[in-house]
Amino acid sequence: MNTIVDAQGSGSSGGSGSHSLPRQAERGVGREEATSYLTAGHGVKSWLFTTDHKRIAILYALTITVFFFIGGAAATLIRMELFTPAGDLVSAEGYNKLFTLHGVIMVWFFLVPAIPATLGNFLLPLMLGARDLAFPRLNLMSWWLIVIAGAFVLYVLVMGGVDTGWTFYAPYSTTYSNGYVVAAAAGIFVSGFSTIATGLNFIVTTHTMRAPGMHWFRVPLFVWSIYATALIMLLATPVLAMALLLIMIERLLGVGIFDPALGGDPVLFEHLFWFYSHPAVYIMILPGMGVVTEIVTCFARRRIFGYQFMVYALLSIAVVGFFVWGHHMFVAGQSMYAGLVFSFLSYVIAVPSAIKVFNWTATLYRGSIVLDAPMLYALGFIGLFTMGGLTGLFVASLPIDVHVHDTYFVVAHFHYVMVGGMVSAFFGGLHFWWPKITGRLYPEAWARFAALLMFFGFNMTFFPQFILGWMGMPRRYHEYPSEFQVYHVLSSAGAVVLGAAYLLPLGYFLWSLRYGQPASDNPWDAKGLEWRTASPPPKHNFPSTPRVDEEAYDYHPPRRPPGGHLDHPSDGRPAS
Amino acid sequence: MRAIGAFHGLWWPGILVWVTLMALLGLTWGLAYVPMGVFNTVVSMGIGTLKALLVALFFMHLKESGPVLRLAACAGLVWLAVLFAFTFADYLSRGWGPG
Amino acid sequence: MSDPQALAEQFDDLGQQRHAAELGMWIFLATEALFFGGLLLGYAVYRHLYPEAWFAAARETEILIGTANTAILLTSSLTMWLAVRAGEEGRRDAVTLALGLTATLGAFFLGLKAYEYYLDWDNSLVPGLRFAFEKADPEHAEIFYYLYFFLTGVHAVHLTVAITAVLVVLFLVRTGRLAYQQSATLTVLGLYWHLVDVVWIFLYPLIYLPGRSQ
Ligand code: HEM
Ligand SMILES: [Cu+2]
Repeated sequence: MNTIVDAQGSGSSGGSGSHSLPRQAERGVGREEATSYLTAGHGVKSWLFTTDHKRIAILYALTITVFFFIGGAAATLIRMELFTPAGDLVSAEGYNKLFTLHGVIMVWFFLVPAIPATLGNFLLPLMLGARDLAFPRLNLMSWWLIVIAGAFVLYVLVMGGVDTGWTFYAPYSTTYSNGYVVAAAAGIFVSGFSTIATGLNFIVTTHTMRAPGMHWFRVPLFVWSIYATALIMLLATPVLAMALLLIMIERLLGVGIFDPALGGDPVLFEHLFWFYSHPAVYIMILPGMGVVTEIVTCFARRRIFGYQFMVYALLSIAVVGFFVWGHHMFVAGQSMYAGLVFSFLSYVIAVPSAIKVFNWTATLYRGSIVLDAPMLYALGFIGLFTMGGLTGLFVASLPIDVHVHDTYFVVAHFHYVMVGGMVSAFFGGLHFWWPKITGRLYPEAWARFAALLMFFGFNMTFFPQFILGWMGMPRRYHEYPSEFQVYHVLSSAGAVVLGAAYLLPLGYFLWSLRYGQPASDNPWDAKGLEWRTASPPPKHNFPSTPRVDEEAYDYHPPRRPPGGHLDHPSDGRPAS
Repeated sequence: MRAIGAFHGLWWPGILVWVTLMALLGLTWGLAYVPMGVFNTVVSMGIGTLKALLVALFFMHLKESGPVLRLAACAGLVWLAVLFAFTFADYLSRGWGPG
Repeated sequence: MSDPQALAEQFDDLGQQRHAAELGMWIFLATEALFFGGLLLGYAVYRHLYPEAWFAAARETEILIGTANTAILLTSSLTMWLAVRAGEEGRRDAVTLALGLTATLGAFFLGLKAYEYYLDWDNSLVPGLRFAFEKADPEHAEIFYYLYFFLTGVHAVHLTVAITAVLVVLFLVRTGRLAYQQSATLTVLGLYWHLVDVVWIFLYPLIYLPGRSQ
């Protein structure tokens, strides 16, 4: 078996890499011609007011890292509290505030922007062969908006929190909650405009700025995934914004349309909320699917199986994702007949998801697979997303959901997709494009270790929660009967492992910035325009607008998979 | 009038659209007082849609726009229809049978 | 004529830039439709649940002002359209005049709207602050008025933004700082203005016309 190894890895793993040679030769090419985006402009102002999509991506990455750690700290406290059956660490109210903060921050300030606003921002113009996004200043504005939005949330945090859960259900949020509901909702409201601005930019860029030769079916699937995500962002977020605005005004003025005491209907809020939030869970998975597609093809040296099917699957997930929101409301007082329809449609949406899993698997078949860190993350994604998706079918089944709704089963389900799936993909993407973004290689051995640790820690944390939920442990309680303890202890112990696996990359990534080997333009010998420019890329991405004259993922001649003979490196080298 | 002079040669067909819009406004205002049961709503919303269509096609140039712009223009309305359809799937069937 | 720089560096040519700007604005308008859509859904649900209260409440709105305002906005769409046409032909005086008229009409609308709010206050029709309704079902009539203020309020905010934008562009065109003939600025501004008009076209029959025939 051949191994694609970076220069660092080829030293430590015995030099089995047949692809290190062309890379050595390419190293440094292009870097003298134009200064990289990192060195074009100095000082804080050149960053905070940059319009370069690559720098904005970095700003986003730093911002969401901060939020990831705040959200993570809340999760740590939650798992500590649940270590014992008694509510000994925090009060019931304190616990409510912890899981609300955790949910709000992780959803809107980490997962929604995670891949689109960092990797997507960085890569979309590069992959399309453009100099920047269509509206660079709008892009900068969307970063500033998320910073302002984050400030609201930090204000809430400092002032004493909010306890409604990330779902803000009325009339609890409008009338009874003691927390800082208005400030929290305002933060999410503002973050929504940031999301909309980003989505708009991506769609317009994809439509109008593709390089010559890049017709629609040559667009990398990562870009397609971002495109589908952006569609959801644009069509769902405004409704959430309005729902939150209504909550805020209702709470401030004491009149309104959600409080049954005032003649309103709280179920209406749930409709508005889930019209956004179910599609939004696909905002939190589709970009991961895109990343995984890029990684799987590269590290299996394979064309993607069923390119067009993958495109249609992405788009149909984005569209059908809007038809199923009522599966969150089976026991909320929604009509039984609507419940039946929503349950059926939820099964329908599993079909395109299954197509994607099938096609990744088929891509791996007869590939020459290289288990480098990005690939480990990608494979972890496929496994965990499948688990999450399958349990999605459990809860989509109306009779089962009556039983497991609001239990840990649901908690485990969505963590399998959002954390097992999306966060794994995010880390995979970070590793895959790290050399491109920073111009440095990270230590491969450490990275593989972290990937395995993350997979292991994740399953240990969340698999017991399926069992807990099935046994009837409800979510959002800070104390519980002692027969559940063994699973909670397992879960908390797993969380420690998982936490370590998240901190490790932070360590070696930082280390690599200073001590990592310089990366060549294309250290993985990957396809895609982003690898045809310097690492890190110059300010305007390409010395001249590239032409695209090959299909996407042209890793081997059509219908001639590499099988086991990858000792013809010309098969996999980008046209130069 | 100065305005008339400044816009010399620019009026057509906008002015015709405007006259139609005003006529429709008068019509819908008047018909609102004619008892027609549920058709009051149908008529007033129908005329509203017609007016919006005129503005979109002529003032917003949708008539001459390419397919992508038309698609974008329709997307919001189609999704709005989804929001309404499924929400009312709930409200309208609440009264049915055991539920 | 084309002294101000029209082409931004990320684009290859003006055609591409125009297309991007127009597409961007249309997409933004789609999001606006959904933004208002959330409120309209609330309107539809409660109208469906409480039709009597709805008609009784809607009958108390100021239909004269509402109708006059509709006429004003429709006219402003005409002048906005004139501005775009004049821009295409490079007739700067016509552009500035049309933009001036558009902004003035918008301001008239807001003035009348403010007067209407004042009347509503006088008639104790302001939910939460001053609300007294003797006709049927005051609780649900209050929801109607809540939505009325919300819908018209959000619309007024949009109109204020639109007027400001028109004035800024007017200033830039007058001082020769905008390549208005080449760039898509006027077109895009027009699209936004017309959207504000279209929203109102729907608000008019929803707020002022229900229950008039009873
Ligand atoms: C095969 C596709 C999927 C199906 C059929 C599905 C189905 C469901 C159902 C029926 C529920 C409601 C359970 C309950 O509250 O009782 C649920 C909850 C949830 N799902 Fe999924 N799901 C799918 C994929 C996903 C994905 C991809 C994500 C995120 C990336 C996700 C995130 C969530 C979240 C966050 C919740 C819980 C929301 C809350 O109540 O706090 N799901 N899912
Ligand atoms: Cu869902």
